[in-house]
Amino acid sequence: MSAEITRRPARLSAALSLFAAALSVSLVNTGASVGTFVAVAGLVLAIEGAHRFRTGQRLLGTVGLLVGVLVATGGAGLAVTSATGQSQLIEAGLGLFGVFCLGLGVLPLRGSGSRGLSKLGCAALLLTVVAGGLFQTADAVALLVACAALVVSWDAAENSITVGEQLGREATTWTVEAAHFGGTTLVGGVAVGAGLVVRDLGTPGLPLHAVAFMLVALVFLTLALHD
Amino acid sequence: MTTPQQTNRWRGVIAVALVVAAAGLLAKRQELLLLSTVGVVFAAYHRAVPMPTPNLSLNRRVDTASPASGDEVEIEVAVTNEGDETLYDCQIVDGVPPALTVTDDPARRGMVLRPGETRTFSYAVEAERGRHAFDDATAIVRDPSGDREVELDVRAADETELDCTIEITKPPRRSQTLDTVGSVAANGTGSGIEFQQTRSYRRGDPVSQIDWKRYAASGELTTVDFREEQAASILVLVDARAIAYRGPPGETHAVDAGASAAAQLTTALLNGRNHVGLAALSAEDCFRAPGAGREHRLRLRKLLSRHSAFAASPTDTDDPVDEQVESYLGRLGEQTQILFVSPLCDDTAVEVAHRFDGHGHAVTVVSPDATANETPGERLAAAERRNRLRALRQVGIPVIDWPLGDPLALAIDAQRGVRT
Repeated sequence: MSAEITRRPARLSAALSLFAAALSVSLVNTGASVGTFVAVAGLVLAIEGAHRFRTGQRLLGTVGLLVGVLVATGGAGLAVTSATGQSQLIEAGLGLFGVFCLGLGVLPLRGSGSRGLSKLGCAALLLTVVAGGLFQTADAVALLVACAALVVSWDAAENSITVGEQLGREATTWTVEAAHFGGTTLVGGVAVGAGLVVRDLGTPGLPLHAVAFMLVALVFLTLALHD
Repeated sequence: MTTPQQTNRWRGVIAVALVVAAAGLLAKRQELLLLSTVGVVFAAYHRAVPMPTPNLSLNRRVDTASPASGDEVEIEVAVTNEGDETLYDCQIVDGVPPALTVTDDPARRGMVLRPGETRTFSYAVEAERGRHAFDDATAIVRDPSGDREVELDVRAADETELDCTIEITKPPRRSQTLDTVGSVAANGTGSGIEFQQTRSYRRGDPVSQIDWKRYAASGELTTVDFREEQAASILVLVDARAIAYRGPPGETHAVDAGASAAAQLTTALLNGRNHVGLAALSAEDCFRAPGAGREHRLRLRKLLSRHSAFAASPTDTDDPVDEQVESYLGRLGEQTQILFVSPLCDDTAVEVAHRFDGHGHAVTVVSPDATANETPGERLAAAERRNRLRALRQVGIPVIDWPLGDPLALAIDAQRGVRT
C-alpha cells in the first residue's frame, strides 16, 4: 500500500512537446504563428483548469477553464482569420486540430495520457507540413525545421506519457526528460543539416522520376538485404 | 529481466518518411522529398545509439530503524552507476514494504547517471506495526532514444528492515514443558532459582540445597526446594490461507498482521529460551520444526520476510488445509504447543485448532481482529467471529483477541488479566 501515484504525463516533456508542435505549425504557416502559440497557451490553461476543477479546487479550476477557453478560442480565431487564401486556411485548420489533439493527449482531462490522441495530433501536424510543401507556402529550410520540430514534439509526447506511467507526476524526473529531449533535439538539428546538404547536392538537371525509380530500387535493395 | 526490450517507439518512422517522399515525388515537389531525410536520420539515430549495460548498486538508509507505530520514517536511497557507460535515462522505483504508506515525496526518481556517479533521493513512510523488510528496487534503464529499455531489480547493499514492534515480555504459553531450562514455571520442584518450599531432609537430596543456617541453629536437616523452570517447545502456526487476507479497507490485512505477530512471538519466545518453530497454513507448505539458537532465529526471520506464504497478496491456488495439518501433525514432537495465529475468518480455522488440540498439543489462539463494523455484512462477520472465539474458549482453548489498532503485547496482557 503506497501513496496515490498521479500517473499523468510528465510536465516538462508535455510542455516541450506542445511548444515544438506550435513551433512546427508557425514555421509552416508564418502568418498564424502568434495565433497558434496563443491557442496552445489557452489550451494548457483550460485543461489545467479542468483538472483542478475535477480534483476539488473548484474556484481556481473554473476561473482557469473559462479564461483558458477564451484565450484558446481567441488564439484559434486569430490563426484562422490571419490566413490569406484557401491553402493557408487548410494549414491553419490542420495545425490547430493537431495541436489540440496533442494537447489533449499529453495533458489529459482524466487518465494517464493518450498515445492515440498524440499520434493523431502529430499525424495532423505532419499533414500540415506536407500541405506547406505542396502549396509552397514555406521554403525548404522552414519545412525541414518544421518537420524536425514535429518529430521532436512527438518524441517528447511519447516520453512524457511513458515517464508519467512509470514514475508518476510527483517524482522528480526533469533531468531524465531534459536529457532525452536534448538528445532528440540534437538529432533533429543533425537531420536539418543533412537535409540541407542533400538539397545542395541535388542536381537541377536530374529529372524527378529518375530519382523516384532510384528510390524504389533502393527500397527493394534494402528489403532484399534485410532478409 | 536483463535483456533489453524493444519499446517500438520509433517503429514506422521509415514508413512515414517513405510516404512523405512518395507524396513529394507524385506532386513533383523537391521540398517534400527532402523531408524524408529527417525520417531517415531519426531512424538511423535509434538504430545507432548503443544500449548501455546497466550496472547499478543501491544503498538504503533509514533514519530510525525501530520507530514507533505511526511515526514518520525518512528513507534515503543512494544509487551508484558502477558501470562505465553513462545512463541517460534511469528510473528508480524503490521497493517500499507493501504494508507501509509513503507519506512524503514519492519513492521514485528519474536520474541521469555518469559512470561512478551517485545520486540520492529520499522519501518518508509512515511506520506500521510489524517488521517490514524492503524489497529490491526496480530500475528501468533506456537508451537515449528510448528505443530499447531494460528492467532490472537492484538489491540494496545491506538488507534494510523497519522494526516497529513492541517487545513482548511474556508471550502466551501453556504449562506443558520440556526437560530443558527455560522460562516456563514447571509444577515440579527441583533446582531452579525461585524459592518454593522447605521440607525435611530426605536421603539423597543435594548437599547444596540443605539449609545449613537452620541446621546450625536447630540441628535439624531441612532441604530448600526451588521452582524448576523448563523450556517449552512451541510451534507458531500462521493462518495464511487466501481467506485470511481480510482486513478493514485501506488497512493491514490479517495475514500481514499475523506475520508481524509471528515475528514478535517467535522473538519473545526464543528470548525466553524456548524451542520455537514456525509454520503456515497456506497454498505452499511452510514448516520449520522447533529449535533454538541464533541461527535458528535468523532462519525463522528469513522465512517470515521471504517465504511466499506470507506474501502481500494471496495466490489463486486452493489451500490444502487437511493435508497440511496432517503433515504438520506428523512432523511435530509430542509435547509441542501450538500458537495458532488466525483471524478466524471461517470455521475451518476453528477445526484446525480442535484437531491440534485433539492430538494432545496444547493450543493457544492469537486472533488478529480483521473485522469491521460498518455494513450489515461486516457486522455479521464480526458476530460469527465472536461465536468462534466463544466456541474455542468453551473447549478450554485460550484465545487472545487482538484488535489491530493495539500493540500485541497489550492484547496478551489483557488476556492474562482475564484469566487470573
